Amino acid sequence: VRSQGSVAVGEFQSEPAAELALIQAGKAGDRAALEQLLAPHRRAVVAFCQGMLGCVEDAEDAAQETFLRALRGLSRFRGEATFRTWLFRIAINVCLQWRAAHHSTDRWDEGRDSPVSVAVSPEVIALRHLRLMEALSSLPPRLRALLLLKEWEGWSVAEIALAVRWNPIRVKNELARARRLLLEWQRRDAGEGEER
Amino acid sequence: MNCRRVEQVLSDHLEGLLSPRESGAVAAHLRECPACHRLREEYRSLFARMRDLAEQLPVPGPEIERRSIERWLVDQEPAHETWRSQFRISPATARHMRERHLHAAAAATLALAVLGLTQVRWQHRRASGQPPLSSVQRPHSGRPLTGPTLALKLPLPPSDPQSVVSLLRAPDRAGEHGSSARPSLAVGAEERAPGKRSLPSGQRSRQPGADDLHVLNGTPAVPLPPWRAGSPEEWGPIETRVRGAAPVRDDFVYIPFPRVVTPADSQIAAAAESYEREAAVVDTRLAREVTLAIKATALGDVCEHVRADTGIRLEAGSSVAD
Repeated sequence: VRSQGSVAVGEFQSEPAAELALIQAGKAGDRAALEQLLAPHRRAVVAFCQGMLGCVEDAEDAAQETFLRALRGLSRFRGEATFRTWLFRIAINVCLQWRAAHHSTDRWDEGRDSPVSVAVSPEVIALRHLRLMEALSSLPPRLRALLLLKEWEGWSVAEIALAVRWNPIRVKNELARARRLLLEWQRRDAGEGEER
Repeated sequence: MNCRRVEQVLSDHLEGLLSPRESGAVAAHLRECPACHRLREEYRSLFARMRDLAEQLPVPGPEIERRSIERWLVDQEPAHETWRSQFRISPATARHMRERHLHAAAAATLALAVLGLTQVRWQHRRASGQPPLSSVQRPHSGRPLTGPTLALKLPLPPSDPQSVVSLLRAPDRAGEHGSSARPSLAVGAEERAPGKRSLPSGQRSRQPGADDLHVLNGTPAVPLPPWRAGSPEEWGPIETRVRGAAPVRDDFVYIPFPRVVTPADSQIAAAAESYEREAAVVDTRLAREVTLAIKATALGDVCEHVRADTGIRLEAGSSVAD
């Protein structure tokens, strides 16, 4: 189920059977099959990474790292979750670790939240988008991941819960918390806009 | 339903996740409560803003997944028989292949431009920005020369530089075409330095009658695996590094860098080893110091001398013979 305000960045979700066939061929080194497997998720993964990291260059590097880790773990993929869920779980950890390499944040399942700000290139994003991107960056990383999966990728709470291995109720509560934080930012942003 | 409860379920309401009864209660509250109505508008505005942001994101190209796949395939190389099997083509086999290629040729013409300096050497270098070392250069086959020329005719067709190098390095092979056409580029009065160097016999000899498939695979029934060419971006830095580390002792000879499958460590090592072995080869038949004693000799006489010495028919053009 997709929220009214969400937008799915990914082009489509492959049929599980076709996806498994591509995975099998990919394991045997079939380059074309691997490209066919990953290409539909490219845009969504890069967008998610950009939302998480705030910078398109970092996002593309993180997306590459995500794909590489997925390929390395392909032999362990059993098809219990969809490939997309599995891929995004990797992307979440890549982004959290990416931030940990540049900032003192932590992995998904450990530690506590620490709001950080990420510089966004003003040449790439218009000022309005820039401010929103900064607001996203100011969210705790795990809340940001939930929000991006929900609002950008249009995932259901159940699928998000599967990807992050949280109880769906916890996902729902944390999502509500993320929205409240972003809403508060939006109110402040609107107030500052009026002052300007 | 009070404001606190509406605030809790407003997101679900906007997503259509509430039951019809609960959704109806929220809608009724929103109609009556300006504060909650404003909250709903704020949520809608936020969602729209996020949607706009997502739509503004650049569309990445396929190189994202292709680079990852490339890296993974390289990592996986030892695990895939298809690629590992490339190792079966040993450097010695590559030499056989090159000599085979040489035998496919039927005739060759080498043109030597003589500029009349005290030292005559000829070189072949790729257009790599290095200045020519000698006054005699062998141009690409078939290209007409201007100025004085000295023609060397061989029973081979116009061939590529690598073939010429192979030919020069394997005169025993070319000799199979007939003793009168035995190729050599020795020019000058000096005698060949006996025993100065000779190539290991194992690098020169081939079992007569052995066919290519036998050389390549051992068993003709085993088909050749498909090749996966490394890209120039992958190989350029590696080749530059190996070439820098192993200078070619016959510095007028261009040695093609081995083209192998991937830039995996094992293959780089094999390629470097092959290249270094080739680079260490010095064939004294390929160069002669020419002293002032020969400078005063007519070119026609030099050709005659070379013909008597080597059996190769050399001809000086009429305009430069004297």
